[in-house]
Amino acid sequence: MNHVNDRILLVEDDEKLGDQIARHLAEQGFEVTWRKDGDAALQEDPEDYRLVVLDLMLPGTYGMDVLKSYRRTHDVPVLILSARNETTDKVRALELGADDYLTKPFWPEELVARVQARLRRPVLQRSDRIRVGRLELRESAREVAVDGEPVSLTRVEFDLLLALARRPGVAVERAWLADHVLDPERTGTERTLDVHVSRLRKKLGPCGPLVRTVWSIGYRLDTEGSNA
Amino acid sequence: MSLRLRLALTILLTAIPLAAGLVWLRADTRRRAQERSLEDLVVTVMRAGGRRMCESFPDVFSGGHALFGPGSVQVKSIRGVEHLEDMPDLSELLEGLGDEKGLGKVLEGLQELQAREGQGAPTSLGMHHPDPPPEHHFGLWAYRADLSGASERTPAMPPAIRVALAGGDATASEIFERSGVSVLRMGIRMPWTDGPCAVMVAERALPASDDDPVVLWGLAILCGGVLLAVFLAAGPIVRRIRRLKGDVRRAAQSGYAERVAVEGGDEISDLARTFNEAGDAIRDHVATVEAREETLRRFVADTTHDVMIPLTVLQGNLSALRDRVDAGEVVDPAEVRSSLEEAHYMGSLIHNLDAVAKLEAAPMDLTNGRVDLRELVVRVVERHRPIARTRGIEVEFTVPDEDVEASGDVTLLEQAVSNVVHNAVRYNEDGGHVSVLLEAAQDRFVLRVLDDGPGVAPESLPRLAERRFRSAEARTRRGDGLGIGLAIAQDVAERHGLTLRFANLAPHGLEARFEGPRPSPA
Repeated sequence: MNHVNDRILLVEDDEKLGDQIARHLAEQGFEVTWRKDGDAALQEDPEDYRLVVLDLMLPGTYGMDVLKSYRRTHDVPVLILSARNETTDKVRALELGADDYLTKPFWPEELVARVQARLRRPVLQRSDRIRVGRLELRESAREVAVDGEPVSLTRVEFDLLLALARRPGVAVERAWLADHVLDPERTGTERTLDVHVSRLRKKLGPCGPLVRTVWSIGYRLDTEGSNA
Repeated sequence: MSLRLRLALTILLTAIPLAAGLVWLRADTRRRAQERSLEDLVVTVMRAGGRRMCESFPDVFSGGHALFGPGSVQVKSIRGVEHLEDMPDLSELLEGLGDEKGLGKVLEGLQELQAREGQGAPTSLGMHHPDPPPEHHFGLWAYRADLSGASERTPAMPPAIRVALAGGDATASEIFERSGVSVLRMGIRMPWTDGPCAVMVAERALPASDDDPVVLWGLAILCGGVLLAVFLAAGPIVRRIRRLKGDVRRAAQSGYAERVAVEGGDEISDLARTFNEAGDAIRDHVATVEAREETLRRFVADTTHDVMIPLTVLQGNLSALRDRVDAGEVVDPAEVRSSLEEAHYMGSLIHNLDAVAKLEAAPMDLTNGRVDLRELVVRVVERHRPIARTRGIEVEFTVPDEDVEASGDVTLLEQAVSNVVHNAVRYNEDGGHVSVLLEAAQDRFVLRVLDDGPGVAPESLPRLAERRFRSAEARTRRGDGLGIGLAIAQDVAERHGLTLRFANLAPHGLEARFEGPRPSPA
């Protein structure tokens, strides 16, 4: 993903942790502005940022108050950081309009995943055209193209691909696919499903490996370049 | 303020206004009686001939006459009559003055005298006592209905009386002091309104109120008696309260082990009983708190011990890494991995300490919040993916298309699922798999955590479902794979009305299965 113009406001009072978070976000291509106390955070205009990472325990103005102040005028996504694993804190922060929270300690990857989840544009599942990397589906016309080249699929293969493409990156259970994709008239088993998947992979050519087998769950359509 | 003092003050504060009220009421009654008597006297006199006399000779009631008691009167002069000694029968007439009969007689006599002498009407009647006692003072003045004097010589009506009568009152009265004697002055409208004598103003000295001190003394004695009675009655009460106070103090000092003596069946014994009940409640509460504290203290001590082990391993690893880097050697990936794992383990352990503290303190019912289970699964998977990846273990998940909620505390539920996933990652082989599957039926959800690790010895399976962690055995970190995390997961599940079951998978692996109700949509 390209985040070159994604500005993130980080509000964290601890020097070491703040420095680490800022570095990790910068490595992901974010432009990070780091403020070290609540009063400085209040001086910022949240409008200037795509996302705010806000520590709750701050000198000066308390994190909840910063959040309240931001929410008075803006709905920029806010990710709360807290050392206290307290339900009341989480409930209160969400009530005040926080979008997500992360409890310390956390792995840098965790933080990045949370940030990206908040910035990811929701997939328009009901739109007719679904694009996953080099793969393109047109639901109403029941057409599939790889790099713009049409691929001919059977009804079951198309439904299978569509079911996975509606939630790219998320594993779908084998049993659910068998129930929803296979022809109920015929005695379709999960083994039959595997056969269809294997044919689908071949037909998709270079995109074939995107249809991943997920241990004990079923299948998943990887978004290209996804590291999940 | 002591109880006795408060009682005494209350009685005094109540009794003083009461006594004052009684005195006032009595004085008022007396004054009314005096007023009525004077009014009756004047009206009777005027009816009995006074009116006639007055209308014939208005000057008679114009000069501030003083009439004194019987037997002590000397009539000094009658205007127009030069020699009183020539009127021998007058002194007879003046006998019995002081009552209405006597006065009437005087008036009639004067008329007769005037008629007999054939001289002009007596214009003024002056009677003087050689040494007039003020308590026998009596005076009478006549006025017209419009309150002007009956003759030019009549003095103006006293203002207070005039104002009241002009206001329409039938009578008016005031009391004033003269020579140390209280004098009642009344203005009285006569039953008639015509003629120069329609309104009379009369003055009479009030008799001294000789019985007032008796009443006051009576009141004082009554108050004193009541006070004494209260003091006597309050004595035992105060003594019992003091004893109770001592008992309570002793009980408090003994940590409420000693009880307070309960005697009798009144409010004070109720108080003692209530105190005993409160003491029992406090003792129970203290015992609970102490037990909880003891559990936590032991847990903190054990956890400190547990955190010190990974911390020591971590320090060792970091130290070895530094040595290698210093020597320009290649860093051992296994040492880095191990360090990451130890740090991750410490994080979980401390969160579990926090969870145990909450579980110890929390009420049994935690199902008042709503928890988004899809979100929870994603968070838990993301939490453990980084550490799993260092060992080549894939952590995958699947969640339904629709929202799935559970009732409960989000922190505790997340910790429970996290513990199970951590367990699955931790005891798996490198390159293994862990999957978290959330499935929802109409009114129930199932959350399964599967791994393809070595599983658990069949005889150990039931022990995984035990709620309370058993100190030594359960805390063995790597032994048979039972950790404190699973005990917490079991406890949390139970308190949320969920079941947590474990089963081995074929050919190898473990399935942990949370199952519970979905709350009806809010």
